[in-house]
Amino acid sequence: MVEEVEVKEEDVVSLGEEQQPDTSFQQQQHTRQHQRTILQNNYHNLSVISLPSRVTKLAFFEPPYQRQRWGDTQILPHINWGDLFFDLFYVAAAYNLSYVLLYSPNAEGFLYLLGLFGPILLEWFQRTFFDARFAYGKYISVGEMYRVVLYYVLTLIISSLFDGKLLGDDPFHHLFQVFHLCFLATAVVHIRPVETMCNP
Amino acid sequence: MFGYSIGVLFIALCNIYRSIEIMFKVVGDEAAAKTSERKYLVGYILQFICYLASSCVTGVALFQNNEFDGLYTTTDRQDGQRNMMSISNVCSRILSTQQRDLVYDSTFKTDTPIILCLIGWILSVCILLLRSFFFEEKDGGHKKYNVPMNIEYILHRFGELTMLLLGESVLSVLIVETTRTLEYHVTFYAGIVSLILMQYMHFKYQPHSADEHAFRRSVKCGAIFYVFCIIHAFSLIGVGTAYKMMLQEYSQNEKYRIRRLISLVSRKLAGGTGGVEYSSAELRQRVANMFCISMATSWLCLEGMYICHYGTNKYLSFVRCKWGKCIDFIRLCLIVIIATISQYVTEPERVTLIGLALLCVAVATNEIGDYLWNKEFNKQNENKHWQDETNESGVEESDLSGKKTKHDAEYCI
Repeated sequence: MVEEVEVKEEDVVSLGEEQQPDTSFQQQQHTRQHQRTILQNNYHNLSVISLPSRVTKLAFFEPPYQRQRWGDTQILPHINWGDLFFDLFYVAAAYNLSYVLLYSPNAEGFLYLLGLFGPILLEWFQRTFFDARFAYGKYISVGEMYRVVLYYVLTLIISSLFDGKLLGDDPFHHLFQVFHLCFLATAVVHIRPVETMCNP
Repeated sequence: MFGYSIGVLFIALCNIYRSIEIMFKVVGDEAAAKTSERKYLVGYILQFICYLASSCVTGVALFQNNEFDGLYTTTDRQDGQRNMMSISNVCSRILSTQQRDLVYDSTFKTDTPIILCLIGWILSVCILLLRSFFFEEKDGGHKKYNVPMNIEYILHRFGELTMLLLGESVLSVLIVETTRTLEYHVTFYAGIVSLILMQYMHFKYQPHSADEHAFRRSVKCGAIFYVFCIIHAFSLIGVGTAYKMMLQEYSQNEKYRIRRLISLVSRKLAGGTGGVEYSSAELRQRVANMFCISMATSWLCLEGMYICHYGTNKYLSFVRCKWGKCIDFIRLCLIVIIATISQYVTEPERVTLIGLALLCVAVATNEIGDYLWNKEFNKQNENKHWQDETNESGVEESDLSGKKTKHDAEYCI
């Protein structure tokens, strides 16, 4: 699943010196150093972020990476087009929500505003908190939807030819992202004035 | 409502999957990731249950009663069929979408689904607050059970959220039918300038570096800041809608209606069912109330966020100083005044002008306050009377290696 990463000796040394492990951590020291090296080598990927990139490995699924550890120097990811694209859905949501209040400037309208905006606003925070802690091997660009769908179709076709080795840069999470946004779009498009919303 | 419930239900399902994936597949500190995701998972599952209940309620009502199509009255259904067959009627359908297509049978009216959605997300926030206040380990123990956040990233993203919500307000002011009256132009420009000042004021209240952020201060500060962000987002929607309603009031007058046909086609993006049933005076009162409450809530949230970022001790020590009392008294008065404008004035142009004037005073006060704040605390730092804020809050502790770092007070929720 995870691509074997060439371990640089200096990385391991510097990581080892950076944080003296607690006794409870010593048992897993070797594994952790290996993981840290993977993290270190993926910092570049995490900071480049979201621009269409070339396929460099054969993997259908890549595990998420922890962005940083306690005490690490935090690297601010570059402008993330995927996040901006995600935000566009909230512009539409906010615009639709304004009509909820516009047509019902009363307690009922306020109740519907809370009930309709709350779940999707919370989703924004939850996703942001997730992205602030974890990242996928190569960050997902939501703007590449067309390419993603093509990838997925291609991977399904080619998988049968290559005996389980699938082509693509983590198409699983790309597709997951597409579905996620489709569900968000479904919620946003159904935000309507109270008169409509109070009917099933 | 069924479509909305299904949408949020699947979003919650995606979140549950993502948490489970992190628990079993993450590369990093697996133990901490697993524990922290388990805590998040509780919130996601609660949301999922509430949204599932909402979907079931709406789904049962929808499919039991006339199986969707039956929700339209006979006349409407016939109209709809004719619309589909005739290109010319498609245009008329666009013009009166809401009247034709979305007239449901009122016997199925229920508020239960929206209440379930409301319970779902409020429960999730309450659980987070409870966890942050009562169940998180102190003295650095939380680091074993939590994955650190990238605070710089959070800082940027929260700024973007505010920008997009303010963007909606700008959209509300700009995408409204125009009129040639003086009152319209006064309201319009007062609204635009107010939004600019609100944007300026928001970023004035936010820290410029991750080290000053509430998430890096303490568990409680981070959780309270999160709640303030949610309330602030709602208040910004309220401000935008209030401006839109004020400006639309002028366009209700037939004499000044311009580009009506174009706007009917292009601007009713969200749809509606024919407007509000209030008298003009009552509607004005309600809009003024909405404006005042939203604006006051927004300011209060900004103050709350500021306290979360810098800590109550530092804030109170500023209040205790000579000029601090004055500045905070003015701020408090401004919030009280803006919250009560609607009790004295309801004309849109007057309400927005007073709002603008108060915003100008608030910005000026903040500038002076900022200058005095820096003067006060720089002086204290020079005299070594002011210790590092992390020490003061009592959250600084050694990391796992026993070595102190600048991220020691860092917390994630």
